[in-house]
Amino acid sequence: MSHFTRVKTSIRDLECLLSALKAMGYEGGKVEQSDKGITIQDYYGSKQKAQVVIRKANLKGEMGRWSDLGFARKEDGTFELIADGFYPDTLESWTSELTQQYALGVVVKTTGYQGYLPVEQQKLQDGSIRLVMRQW
Amino acid sequence: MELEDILKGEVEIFINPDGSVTFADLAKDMLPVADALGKVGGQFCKTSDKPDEK
Repeated sequence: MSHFTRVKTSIRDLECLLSALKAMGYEGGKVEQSDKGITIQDYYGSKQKAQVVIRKANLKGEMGRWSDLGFARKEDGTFELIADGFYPDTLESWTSELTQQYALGVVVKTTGYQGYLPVEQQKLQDGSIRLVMRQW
Repeated sequence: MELEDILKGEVEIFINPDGSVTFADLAKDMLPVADALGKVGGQFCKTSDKPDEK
């Protein structure tokens, strides 16, 4: 028996993933990272390996009630999210925020290569993020 | 030199809650960005509820 759920993502960029986690309040010692993989564990003691890990003690709310969370690098280069699936709505909300923050990081990084810098950022009522980038 | 002379361009981008991105003005310079986002955008889908223990 396992609480773990695997969620396929198209996240490939480690730097943007870490940036997204940081924006969600997971930074510094709250995020462990190892190319070799770190063992994570759920409520039942089921174990998985992941390259980017947040221990349950560092997860907020229901996300950290039972299990650690991790991102496992797959052969195609994408990361698969391994997280507690006991609260599907909470997990969906968490992944939604991560998706948006990841996209924000990719936009800033990619436009940065072309000389654009963020000059304005605001969260709109509809949940979207408005970003103004200026090329210098 | 005036600041306006240094400025080359400004783009307004909206990052939606689902991770999709909308460009208010899709300048030619932004095409590589749009392309990159298409490749790395974070769409999620569940693959398994009970993975094998490794």
